[in-house]
Amino acid sequence: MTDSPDGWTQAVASVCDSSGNVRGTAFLVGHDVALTCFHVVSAAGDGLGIRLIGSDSIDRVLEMDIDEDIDIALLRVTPQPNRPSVRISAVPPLIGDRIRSRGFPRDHRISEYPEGFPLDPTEITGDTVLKWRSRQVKLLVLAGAEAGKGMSGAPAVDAATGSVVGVLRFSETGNARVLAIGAADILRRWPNLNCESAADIPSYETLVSTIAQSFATTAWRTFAPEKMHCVVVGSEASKDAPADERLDALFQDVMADAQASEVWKAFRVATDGRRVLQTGAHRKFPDVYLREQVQIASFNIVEALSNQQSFELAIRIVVEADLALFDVTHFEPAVMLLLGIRGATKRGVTVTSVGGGWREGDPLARPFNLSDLSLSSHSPQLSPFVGEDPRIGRLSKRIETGFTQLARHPAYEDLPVYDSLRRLGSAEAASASIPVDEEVLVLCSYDESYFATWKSLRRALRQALFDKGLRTNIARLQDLPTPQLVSQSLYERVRRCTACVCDWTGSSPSTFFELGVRLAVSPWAAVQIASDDWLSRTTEVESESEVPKLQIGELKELLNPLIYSGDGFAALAISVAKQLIEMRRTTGATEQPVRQSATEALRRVQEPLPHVVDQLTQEADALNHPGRTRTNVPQALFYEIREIKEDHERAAIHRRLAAWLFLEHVSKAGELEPTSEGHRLWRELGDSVAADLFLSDDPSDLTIANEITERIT
Amino acid sequence: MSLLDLARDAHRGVNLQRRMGDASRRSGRIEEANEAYVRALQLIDDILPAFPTLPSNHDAGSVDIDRNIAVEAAELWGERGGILRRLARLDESRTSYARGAGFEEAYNLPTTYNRVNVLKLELMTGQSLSSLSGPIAKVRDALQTRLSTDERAADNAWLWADLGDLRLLLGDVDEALSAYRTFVAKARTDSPVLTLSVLSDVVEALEQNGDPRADLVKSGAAEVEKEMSKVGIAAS
Repeated sequence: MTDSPDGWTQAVASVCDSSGNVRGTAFLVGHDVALTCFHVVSAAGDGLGIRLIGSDSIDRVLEMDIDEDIDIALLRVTPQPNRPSVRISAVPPLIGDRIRSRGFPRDHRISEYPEGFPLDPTEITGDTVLKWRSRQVKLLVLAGAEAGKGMSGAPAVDAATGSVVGVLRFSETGNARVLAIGAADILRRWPNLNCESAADIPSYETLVSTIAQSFATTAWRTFAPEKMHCVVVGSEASKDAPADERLDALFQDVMADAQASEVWKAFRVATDGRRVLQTGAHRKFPDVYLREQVQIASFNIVEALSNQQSFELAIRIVVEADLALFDVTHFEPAVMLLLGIRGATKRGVTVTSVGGGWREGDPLARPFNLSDLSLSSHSPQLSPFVGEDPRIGRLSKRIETGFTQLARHPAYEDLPVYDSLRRLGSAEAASASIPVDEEVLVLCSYDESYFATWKSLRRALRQALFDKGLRTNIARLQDLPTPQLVSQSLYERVRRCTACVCDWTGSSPSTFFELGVRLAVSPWAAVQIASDDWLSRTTEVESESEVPKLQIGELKELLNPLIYSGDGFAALAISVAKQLIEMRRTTGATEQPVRQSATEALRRVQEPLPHVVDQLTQEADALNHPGRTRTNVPQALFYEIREIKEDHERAAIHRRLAAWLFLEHVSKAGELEPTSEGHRLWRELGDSVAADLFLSDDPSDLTIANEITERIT
Repeated sequence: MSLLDLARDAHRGVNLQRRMGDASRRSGRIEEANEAYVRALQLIDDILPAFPTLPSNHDAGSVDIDRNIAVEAAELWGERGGILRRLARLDESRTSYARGAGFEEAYNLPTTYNRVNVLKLELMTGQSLSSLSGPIAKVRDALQTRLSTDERAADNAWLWADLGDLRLLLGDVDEALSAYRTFVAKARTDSPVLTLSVLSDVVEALEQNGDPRADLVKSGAAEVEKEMSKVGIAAS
């Protein structure tokens, strides 16, 4: 790398067309990226390449990212180690700064100047504004030199620091001045070029990404089954907080601590040998904890919302992660939304943690449908302490326990959604859509201050739908006449109702959590609405609202809710009704981006349902474990009732018998190598089920017991 | 395979053969039953030599055997004692139980199966109840202490059966019934029949030996049977 004042010359290259003719100048700014002017690459046409000073070969340009407005192009070339590159200066040049350059003007043959023609030292005299493609463009003015055609794209290098302050663009013949694109414009276009050292410049892919660098560099590109994937979602409240107060920093400490090996061990027990459905690959992990086996992505919620690409990446990471940690301080709306997406898609381990001074045991108002979340605290200790930060041990233990429970409890949940969305019963219609003419589900705040809005909204929407020929029930969850638990009835409806309206107004954390679930699971999406009054109150810079300001604005850009005013319910209702009818017309085939992102991520990581033998055996063991022959510890809850115990014991026998018959007739396990796992399982299950059947006095049971015994011995 | 894995396999096989034997015996096919018991015995005798033995004057500090191995050894000796009792080889059965009891005592294991069965086999092989009342009371006291201080041990239905047996042999019928009730509530539904069967054998032996306290134990056992019959359990 060339951070020295003179090293930059090694990074200069000529831009050649497909015939090898020089069309301009470029310079490397990273191991696989170079900068030049857009008009240079435009003139060079297809098949262009760059030739570094001193090199005989031409590196073909693989792809490029251009900005025609400022006439700049970022070129991707094949990465090579130890390639010279030069740093872009984030500090604006001052008038009088001495500038050097080097390039390949057509009037100076390359054979005479193989190392490029040097521009005489010149200096910054200020800037000027040109009109270019109907836009005003500000350019740096370098006085005291002229640059011939072919110098375009050459770096304007600060002679004192060796860093680039601009890119040569025009030469004004006769005026002895050269105009250059300023580094500030370049960095505005590719912010990730702003690095302390040329060695730190990320890859082309990261540079052209619109994703914040910290997020882009920590997020895994593809899910690797042999690694543990973790994500930390930071709250807006922690955006500029010192590391000591941030959950991501605490988690990094956990994984660097000696206790990380216990976390690893528990993770391994829960995950080792599990199969990824799509590829069939079994996840395998080393016994010993190695930091490189763990992928940790972290992002602040505001970064995740900065554009569609970042949002989709955040969804993918949150869905794919084995372990997700959410900073739920203040239960911020967008954090709740991502938490809902996570809860709907993954039965992994999710840790929800509160900072901002809250500590475990302190009172805390929680969203009503998240009231049984087991919240962790990452607030730093107020008083000095000796030894390790006690938060490390607590968080580490919490994660370890999560994986231990996940391993031994098939229905493990740390968010209240996963099973409620899936266990809807076996009736064919249990998972069927609830049509719009039957019900419109409204997700909204239950705050008293919202009630008047709700009444007006419902009345207006009912009328608007009636006008469209639809008579339907417009209901919040609380309006449904059901004794069923909220967690069951709500998420069933969130999944099944084709018509769903979500009002952001009031920033209810429950509403945003439910919205996340809805957007992840329903192809019908949701018609989202928000009151203009609430929006302006929450997004105003001067607002004293507790709701984080940035994320609501970003969410609005991403999810585009219908905005209504306090007296505009009729107009709003007409728009909502129109959207609901339109959704119906498209029969749920809308390409809803949140669901699409979640689906794509799930496709890569979803594990199969438990094998029928495993499931039956586990169920049998949970009812009447074979170890009870020795320990005789009761397993039935009301073990005093003999009939219940008999029922459990009989059900356990039937499950083991079904499992054994599957192994015998489907897996043909009896014909496998005696040392194989399948054969061992077949023999052990046979032992167990036959032994239990021998307790019976029913002749048919004894016949089966004898047949199995004969088969396995 | 480790010794513990071998033991696990052996226990499973022994359990299968024992229950097969019990089923045959219930059907009156004694020869088949005995064949199954012999197979079970063979499985145990194949593996037992691999287990370390306790020195004859053992105490907790004098042996250096992994506790998990000791648990399995106690279990295997106990299983062996049970099979031999079914085969009516009572002296060998008592010896087996005594070997298992050695592990229970040396390692302060929560189980008392071997210790209680040593006492029952002593009675079945001619010892009088009065001569054993001291040892019976000693095991009962140890068991009561264990059950009142160790919640995990108190989950184990077999320990309640053992406590019931010991209390009954000591003539404390009400307390015995209380322990048996807990046993029946916690145990697998097939367990009480096995216990009643052994109790019946003990009573029969006491009567045959003309033990002066035979009647007392017999009437107590009858009450136990009566109590159990209320919940549908009948001695086989």
